Amino acid sequence: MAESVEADGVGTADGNTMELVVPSLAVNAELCRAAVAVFAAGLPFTLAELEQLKVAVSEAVGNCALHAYGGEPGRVRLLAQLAAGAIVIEIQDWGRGISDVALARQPAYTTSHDPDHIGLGFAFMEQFTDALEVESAPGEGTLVRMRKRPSGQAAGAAWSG
Amino acid sequence: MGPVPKRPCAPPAGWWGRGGARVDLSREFRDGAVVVRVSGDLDVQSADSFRRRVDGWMAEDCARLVLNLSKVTFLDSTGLGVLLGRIRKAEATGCRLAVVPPPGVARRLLDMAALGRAVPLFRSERSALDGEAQTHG
Repeated sequence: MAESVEADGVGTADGNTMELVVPSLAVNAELCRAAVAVFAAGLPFTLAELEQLKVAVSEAVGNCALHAYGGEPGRVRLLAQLAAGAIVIEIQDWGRGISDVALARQPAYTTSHDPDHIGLGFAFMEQFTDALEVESAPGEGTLVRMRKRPSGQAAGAAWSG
Repeated sequence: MGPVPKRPCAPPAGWWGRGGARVDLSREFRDGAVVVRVSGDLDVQSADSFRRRVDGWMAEDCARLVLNLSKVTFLDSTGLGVLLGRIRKAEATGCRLAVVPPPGVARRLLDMAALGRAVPLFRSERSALDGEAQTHG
């Protein structure tokens, strides 16, 4: 998956990639979002945009921890890439999968019986990134792909790709 | 989907499902109200411990509760869900609840869930205790 490990050249973050494989645990939502925030800082995102990315990543990894493996041990892979001035993030699990992705992406939809689970995870991923793709098949797992480009409003945004 | 990575990354036995608590809570009785101050990340990791402790405090004394979230550094949908759940619980038990919202993107999540329609929001703990000067909504 990570063929393009080499960055384009000294002093540019374009082409940089990151891969992280962690147990499917809620504690790793924090690890993953922190890693992505540092990684994404290679592009001229504003602090608010980095915070938005953190929410989106946290939702995806949180979904893995809460739903993917039904409480059993499992793995989550985070893949991030800076390419053509945008960040692409993939979060993948090999768990139960989602039978109806379109339904799962509806705001307020949840399979949980906990009344405090409000089913806004995908809505927040969608809200805080430019593009969201979800690939899933029952029994095979789920791949969430998100893309976000800096708005260009960061002060002192020197990087020009 | 590609194969499962074969890296050895299994944590120690008994570690699965153990949740940490990266959120700090404190309680103070002030001007006839219970003030709960929350700092840190209220997320998928800490939401359960937040819920347990706040529910315990609400069971003890819940005439008037000020939930001060001004030091919350991160919020996700799971954290937002337990906040909304505590608002429902306050309504159901006749507890007068006021919320001081967090800054930044966390505040935006509250607004996306229209939290201000369910509970009064205040710009500071002082104004929440005085019951005046709502931020908006």
